[in-house]
Amino acid sequence: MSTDHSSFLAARVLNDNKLVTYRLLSRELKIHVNKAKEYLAAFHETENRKRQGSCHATYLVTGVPKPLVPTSRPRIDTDDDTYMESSPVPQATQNEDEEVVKTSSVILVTEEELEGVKESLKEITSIHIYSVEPGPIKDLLAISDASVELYSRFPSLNAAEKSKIYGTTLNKYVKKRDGAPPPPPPPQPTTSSTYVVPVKKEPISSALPAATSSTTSKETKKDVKKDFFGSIKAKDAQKSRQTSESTSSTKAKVPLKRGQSDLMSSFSNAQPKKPKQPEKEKTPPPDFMDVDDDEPAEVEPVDEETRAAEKARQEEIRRKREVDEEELRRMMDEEDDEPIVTEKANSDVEVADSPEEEEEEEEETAATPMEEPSEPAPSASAPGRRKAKRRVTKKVRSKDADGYIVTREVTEWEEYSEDDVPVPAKPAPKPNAFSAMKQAPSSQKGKKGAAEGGPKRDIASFFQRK
Amino acid sequence: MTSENPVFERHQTVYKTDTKFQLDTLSYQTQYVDIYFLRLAKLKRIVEAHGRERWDAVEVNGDYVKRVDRVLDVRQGELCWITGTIYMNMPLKPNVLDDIAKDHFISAPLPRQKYRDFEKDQIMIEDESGRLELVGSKIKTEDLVTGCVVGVMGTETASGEFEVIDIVLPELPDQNPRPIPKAPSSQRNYVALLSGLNITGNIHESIETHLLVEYLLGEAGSPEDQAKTSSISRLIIAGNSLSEPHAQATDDAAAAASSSRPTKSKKYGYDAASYNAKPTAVLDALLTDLCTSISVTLMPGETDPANASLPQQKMHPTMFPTAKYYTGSTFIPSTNPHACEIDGVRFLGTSGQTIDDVFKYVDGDDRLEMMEKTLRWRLVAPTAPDTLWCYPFQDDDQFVIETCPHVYFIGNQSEFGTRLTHGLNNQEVRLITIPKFSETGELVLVDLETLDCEIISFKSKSGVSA
Repeated sequence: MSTDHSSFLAARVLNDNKLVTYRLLSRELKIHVNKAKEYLAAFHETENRKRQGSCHATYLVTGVPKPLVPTSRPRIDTDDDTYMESSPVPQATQNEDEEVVKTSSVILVTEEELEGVKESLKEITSIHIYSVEPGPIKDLLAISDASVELYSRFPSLNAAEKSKIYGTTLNKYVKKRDGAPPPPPPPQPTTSSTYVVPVKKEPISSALPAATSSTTSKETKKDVKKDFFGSIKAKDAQKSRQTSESTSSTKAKVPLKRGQSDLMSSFSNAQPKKPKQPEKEKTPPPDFMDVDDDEPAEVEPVDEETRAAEKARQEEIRRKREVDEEELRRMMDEEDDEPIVTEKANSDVEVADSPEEEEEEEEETAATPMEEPSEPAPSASAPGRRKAKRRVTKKVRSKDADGYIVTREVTEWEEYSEDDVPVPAKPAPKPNAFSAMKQAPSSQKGKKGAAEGGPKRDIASFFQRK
Repeated sequence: MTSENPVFERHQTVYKTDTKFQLDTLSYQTQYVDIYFLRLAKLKRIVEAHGRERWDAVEVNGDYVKRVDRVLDVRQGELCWITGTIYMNMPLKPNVLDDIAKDHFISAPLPRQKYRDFEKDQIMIEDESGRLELVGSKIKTEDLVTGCVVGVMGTETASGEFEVIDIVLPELPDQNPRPIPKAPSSQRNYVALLSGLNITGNIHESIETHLLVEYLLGEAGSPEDQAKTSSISRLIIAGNSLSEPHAQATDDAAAAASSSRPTKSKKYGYDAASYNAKPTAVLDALLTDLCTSISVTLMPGETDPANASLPQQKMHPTMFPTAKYYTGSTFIPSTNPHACEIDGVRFLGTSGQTIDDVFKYVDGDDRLEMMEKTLRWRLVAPTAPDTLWCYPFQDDDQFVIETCPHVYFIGNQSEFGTRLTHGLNNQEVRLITIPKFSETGELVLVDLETLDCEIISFKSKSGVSA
């Protein structure tokens, strides 16, 4: 235990130049806060014995202040509180019939100021070390930073556990309501995660192999099915994905998965189908959908570089496709310019979004141009069908500059044929085999795009700041 | 280096919320006139009882003082007393017509600290029948506000004004006896009151807030401090937990200026993308931490995201994604005037708007005096709906105090103040003004047995800056 704490402190304070508060230490090592205070004090002492000034401390002093200490209410007169100036004798009457109120102070103080603070107190209840840091700190806000870090890194335990481990005052009657557990804490700050004590890491790593193996097996199963339908594009997209998976699945992204709840996964599973219902539902064969549903809700761990590469490539492909489309479109229906306009607006939006949002965009980009290439086919091969247009409201989700996901409803015109209308949900084979053939791969592609990029990522990233 | 650390157990108290201020229907269709009508109907009886008691046998120049039922029935030269609602006609008071005229101001006048202007103000008494102007030194010195129901005794002068000789108020309502402490102070039993955390969610949160949380959780300090902490059974946060959103607005403006994206369509009204979740996220984290150990009652305040009009309703649970799982046990979101009973001790309090508004009507800066006045008027928010926004009650004026509280607190005041006030029927009320924590760092503890107050002040002293 002692080696544990001193090595942790040495690593974090001396090597990493970081501040450690007693709370942080107690959370890291899962020890009682009072114990953590002792460890900090011991560490501070030994380090300073080794080398004077190598480590600096702040203290928390509690006690009763001397009466009428001028600093006890420093801001009463100087603040810009609006009520003060109007009345000539504000407090004269008030103080008479106010009884003396017992006051105690809790003061956080740096080691230099400790003596001064001690003197200002009439009675000192306790002094304990609050934090240890590599050098004198200019601003105590650094400490509040550490406190914030505490919240982001250590999800709240239940009351009983918390008091058993950390010594928080026990409240037996705390009841956490059932339901979905809270969303996972935001991803750990990368710098601090390097000095994680083995104790903490154990549960994660033990949970890891099972999770990954199950996902990969499912993944491959799905891939096989997809290949069966496969278009070339889908295939190599998969390939890249697979490689990325194999490289990254064993790595650190796993905690993200673990945090995810049933509720959320059910959300994310429901998501992909919803927005595309009107156009897409008809094509995929039922078993395909099933696979999609069974798929674990976890975010697919994608390595940063491969993701970027893939993204770039897809972007390129998409751009080319868009250009093609544009051309085709111009040829096909020159008479009505409406769809072109909307299309333009749409693509504008996509281009404007910064590259890392493409992931999110993938769903939409897949969805919107999707429809288009398949259109000319039916109109050309089955001239008997009446061509019509309808207005469709689509949800376009994108991320804005502040990193928030914005869902907009975009109205656009899309073409449809009459026989689409009465049976929108039925996956019945098309009368025209050729068009069916043509549509199958493309719709599948869309499906895949959804499975890969869009909604699952969406719901998770909604909770997790990137 | 002792290994045994005492486990402290949170003291438990029975908590009963008074649901009086909860609104079931939120219909803003109706007029405010009913409030005054209901208020007068409720309080007239009480005031008249006091008036009879006081003036029935009074004889002035051989005339007995007569009660006059309606304001308009007052005869000139006749000594009589009437009951009605006070209306302060103040030129400096905000006026809806001025609001409209404001559109044409070249520069808007500064908001006023006080509306009171002894030269120009007219004090009137009104009931269903009409209004009568009150004059005389008695009424000038008596601090009154629009909306309070009083009885006045005097005569109508030749100019048609009512010269006031004496005045009665509804006085303190009846009080339920406080439970006698079973075991004579074996252990103290505190309730903590807090207001004005003003969490901004900016880069750093104030360190004092973290100290507060650690202290309340029983992690800071020595076992002695921790023992004391465990006797604090619950915490009431009286408003303004989040700071005003102005800082964020400027951030947004800057962000908008820097990222002038051509595709960003102009949005009118509320833009979800500009929502800053940080303050609520920080508050949620703090509350979650607190809720594992101490019961927290959260009242909305002026700057909190709740409805602006009184009674402010509970803050919505979605703002507390993790703390909300403690609702029903330790997390108690509540309304803004909030009434509850803790171990039989009745608490009543607001987040400060009520007294801040009364302040504008009366002379001086004695907030405790104003609090006492509102109790004697039996009105939590006397100035609603005149200068304080409120819900147009239809069936009952909820702001009438029916049962006298034992502890009456007002949040977000410039400084701490407390006083005991006594009613005619041996009522004893502890008045407390809770300071803004963000400015003073003070937490108020109320002893449930003695109703004594204590202050715990949280401070930090940095060696370099000091």
